[in-house]
Amino acid sequence: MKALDIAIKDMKQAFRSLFAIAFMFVIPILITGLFAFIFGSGGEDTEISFEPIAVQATNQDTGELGAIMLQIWGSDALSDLIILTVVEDEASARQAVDDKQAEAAILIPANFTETLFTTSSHAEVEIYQDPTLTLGPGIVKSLVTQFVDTMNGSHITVKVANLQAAERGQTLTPEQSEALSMAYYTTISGGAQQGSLISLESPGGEQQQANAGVKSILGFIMGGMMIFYAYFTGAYASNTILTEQENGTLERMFGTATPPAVIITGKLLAAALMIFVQLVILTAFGRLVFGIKWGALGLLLVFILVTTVGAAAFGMFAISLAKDRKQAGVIMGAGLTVTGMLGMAGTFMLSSPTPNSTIDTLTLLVPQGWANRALLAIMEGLSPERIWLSVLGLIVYSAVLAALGFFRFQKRFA
Amino acid sequence: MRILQLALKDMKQLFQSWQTAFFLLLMPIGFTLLFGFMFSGNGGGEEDTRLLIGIMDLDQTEQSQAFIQMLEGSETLRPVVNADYTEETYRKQVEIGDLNAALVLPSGFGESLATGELLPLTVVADDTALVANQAIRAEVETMYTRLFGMTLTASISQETYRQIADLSTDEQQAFYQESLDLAAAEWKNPPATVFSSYAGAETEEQVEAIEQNAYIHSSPGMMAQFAIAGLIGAAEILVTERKSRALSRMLTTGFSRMGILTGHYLAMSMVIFLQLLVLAVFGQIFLDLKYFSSPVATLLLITASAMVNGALGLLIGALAKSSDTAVVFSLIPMFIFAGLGGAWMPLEFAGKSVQFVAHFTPVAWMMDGFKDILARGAGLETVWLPIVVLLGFAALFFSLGAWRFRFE
Amino acid sequence: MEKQFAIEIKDLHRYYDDIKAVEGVSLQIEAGTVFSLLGPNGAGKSTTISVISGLLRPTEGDVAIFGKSITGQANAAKQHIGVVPQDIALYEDLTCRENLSFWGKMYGLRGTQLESRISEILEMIELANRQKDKVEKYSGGMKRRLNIGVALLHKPDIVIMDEPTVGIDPQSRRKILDSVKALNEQGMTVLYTTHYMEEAQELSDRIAIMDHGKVIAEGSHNELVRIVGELDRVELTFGTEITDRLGEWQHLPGIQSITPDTNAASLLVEDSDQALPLFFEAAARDHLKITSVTVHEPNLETVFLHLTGRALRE
Repeated sequence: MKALDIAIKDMKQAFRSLFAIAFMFVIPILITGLFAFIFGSGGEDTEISFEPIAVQATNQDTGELGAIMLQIWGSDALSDLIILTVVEDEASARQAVDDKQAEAAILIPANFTETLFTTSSHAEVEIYQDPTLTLGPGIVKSLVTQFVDTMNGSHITVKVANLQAAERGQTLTPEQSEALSMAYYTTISGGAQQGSLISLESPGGEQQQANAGVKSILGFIMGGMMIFYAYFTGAYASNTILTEQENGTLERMFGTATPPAVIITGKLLAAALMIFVQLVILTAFGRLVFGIKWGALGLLLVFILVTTVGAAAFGMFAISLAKDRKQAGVIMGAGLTVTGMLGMAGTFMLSSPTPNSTIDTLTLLVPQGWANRALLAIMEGLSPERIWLSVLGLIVYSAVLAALGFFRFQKRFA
Repeated sequence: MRILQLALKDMKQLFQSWQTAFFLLLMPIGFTLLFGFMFSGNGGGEEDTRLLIGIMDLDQTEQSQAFIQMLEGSETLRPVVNADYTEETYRKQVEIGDLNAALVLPSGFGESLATGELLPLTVVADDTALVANQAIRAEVETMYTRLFGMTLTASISQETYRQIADLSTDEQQAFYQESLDLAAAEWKNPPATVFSSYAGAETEEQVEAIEQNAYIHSSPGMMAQFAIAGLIGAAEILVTERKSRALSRMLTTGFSRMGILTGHYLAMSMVIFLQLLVLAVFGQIFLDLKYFSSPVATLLLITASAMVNGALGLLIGALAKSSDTAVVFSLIPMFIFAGLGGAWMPLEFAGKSVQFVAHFTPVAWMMDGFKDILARGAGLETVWLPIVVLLGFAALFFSLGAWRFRFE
Repeated sequence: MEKQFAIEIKDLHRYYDDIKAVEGVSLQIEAGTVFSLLGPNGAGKSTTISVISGLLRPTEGDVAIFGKSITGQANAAKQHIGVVPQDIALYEDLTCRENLSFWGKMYGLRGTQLESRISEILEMIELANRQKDKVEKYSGGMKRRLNIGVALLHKPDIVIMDEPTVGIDPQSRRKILDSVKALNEQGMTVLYTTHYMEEAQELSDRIAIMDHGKVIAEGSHNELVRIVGELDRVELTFGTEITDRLGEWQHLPGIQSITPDTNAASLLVEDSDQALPLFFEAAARDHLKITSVTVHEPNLETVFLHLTGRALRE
């Protein structure tokens, strides 16, 4: 009963504290709102749309192919993807990229057409790009490669056909060669117009909608922030032990014949109650305002409960390492930031073109990593084993930390 | 002189505490490395950072084998083929993150290439890895199209020859195979190729540095974020001085208000300057980042960054009434500016409107400046704009801080 | 039957590493009395109090509260005690009433019993009309009163007050002293620590003087004063430094002891009327100018000075 009294008293104090309210609710909502702004609200209609890429081009080609290529890219069909500006000389195009007026410049060499219509020489189309960008220039290169490959294919078809005919003592007429080339070009272009042959699917088997990733990302970010700040709340709640020690009220409590174990239990309970309220409010907010789909309700509740216990336990353990409030400040500021960000590393890697799976494993060094993993698994609807493994990992980790923290404080106040 | 003495006093107080070194240096270095690793790929061998794609070949034809071979030559993807794996295993591998993607080559794949009625391919991937998935899809499509191109070449060549001469069924098959082989050989050295070059990179070495250095973004990103975090200690000094009435006492010595504010501001700016300088030197020496390719530009950018963060610290110290609120008021801008300003992930992934708004934060300008120096080898002629803007932010924050500052 | 004391301290020792904070203290405090621990800062008063309250474990010895050992039966013993700490130990971000409610629950009070007790305490400490204000808004004196009120919630048999009047205004101080008397009139045993002689003198039935961790004297006020007999304490202030210049004065008739300071001296004499002329003579002879003279009747300050050679408040 006394433990509950202590917990209620602590909660009352916390909810009157600007600092606590800021960390429990304001900051996670603010940051999620920030990413919602960056990526879109995440609701059903969210579309991830890239702005058209500003591209400069020069055409030194003495033949027609260069002009045809530029015509295609400058057409209305691609105007949502590329804003193409054709300039006279290479230097201007390069300068535009240097001045950040364009993300990339396509430099078509003089021998482009000639190379594709003869059997000698080699032509190189250069994509001069802004090195601080990856996405836009990557798309440009992809488009250019597609066109050049089509031309290469035509060239190779003609070459192979002529080679084979010649080996058999036959010769193809120019008209035949042209027909070959056209046949190749028409077939390939026709296929391209039908759209992509590649579809993406989640590991669970669902077809990926165009914007599924965006909606998920916002959910993962908010989830990550929830976990990050839940652990802060746990440490904040346990830090009140040190605050009370310095203020003299802890000593006073001992004077009332309240055993240390009851006081520590009260503090742990306070932490758990605060974190539970925090997580419930944040998940509700995420669902109602940002349209985040957290996954099956039952599993979400399990996640909330387990994370509540985990964060409270971690907070108690972390603060038990501090002798006074100053040290606790370092633990809360530095320790929790480091462990929290490591735990969220998987979320940060979402934007990486080359994510590192070793980091994903490293996240398991910290309980926040297990919590993030469990939430991701629930949100993505992964296999039950994966979900329960993550949940179990978090439970075990939390139990150990709770015991250690409790034991350390008990020993200190014995 | 008194301004300098006040600044030195503040710096002494800050550096007395080991936490200062931890927040100012160790944490940003640690996170730079962490973020660098996050973006460095799976590191097969030491240098191979290609995305791992598991291939399940249900077709087992020459065409499917040829496709796998083509993928092995890809610069983007590294195929993983394990005869013991089932489709379920591959999916699990993607689920747990051991593979970036998995591709099933269905039965009939080779035949579809011959007939021209191509089978759609499904790539299994984590739907949140937006950027990686784009790269995977583009590369698989390119390779698939090339492979189809080869078979199309063979078909067209065969068809053309049949118009000239008769071929028996066996001869047709042999002809087709020969066409295919010739096409494959030609594709190894196509007549036209596409290559990338980078603004500011003149040598192959420089190009490689841009393509392979995972820290080009994370290093300045973490510098920008932790420059703000470093203000916590400085702001707390101001709060403590106000509470202990040391600030009021200072006024009784004839030291002007502006002088006192300038002294504190100078301390904060100096500390951040030293922090950024040390981190830049660290990046130059240990992370192979060319911070000092243009030393004047870098030093001026660091100075401007320090000045804006120092002014922000002054503003925080002016607004915060207690140590707790100083921490909150430091961490909120840290997260907001860092997130919105592109310290965590490049702004190019957001829309133009977001990028516009982001440039209302000093972090976005810091990132622009540092990335231009690191990726483009830019000098003062390019970096002057971010420097000027940062100084403008410094003036704004300082003015606000001075206006709101209360000595009691 | 062996008499049961409210507090019985048996050969108490408390060490912090090599520092002997309390050394061999034995006291017996009868129920219904006011007992003061008098001594300068660092004498060991607070440490003794902490052991009695159960906050520190004795290195050696024991304390019994109405026969219950503070080490062996801590919880039972603590039920008899209410502690008023020297520093304000309250939750400043909670209201007065919330503080009383919480602490009452910590003392095991619930429901209507708690509510009625809170009302009584609010009346006693005269904060009923401010009960809904947060403690951070209170003046120092109000906080002190609440600090005392919290200790009395569970109607303890013994209230321990550790220097409750340090740093407060004279009006609040007066109120606290009056409240101590009132509590004692209700039958409460009060253990009071102070370094103000006049407080100990005014309040206490018995006084123990502590210095350097030991009890150097114990008794009623009159008993203690008799230690120094009828000695008067004369305090002289000089116009110049006199530290090593009063050696000859020791031989003046009627001088018991001289304690010089930089430009002052405290002298214990048998009869100040006879001694004063001798001082003036000696001063003239030694070319010393006496700028002020104060004569004190025997009191606890004198006792302390006599026993330790130092002033109670230095």
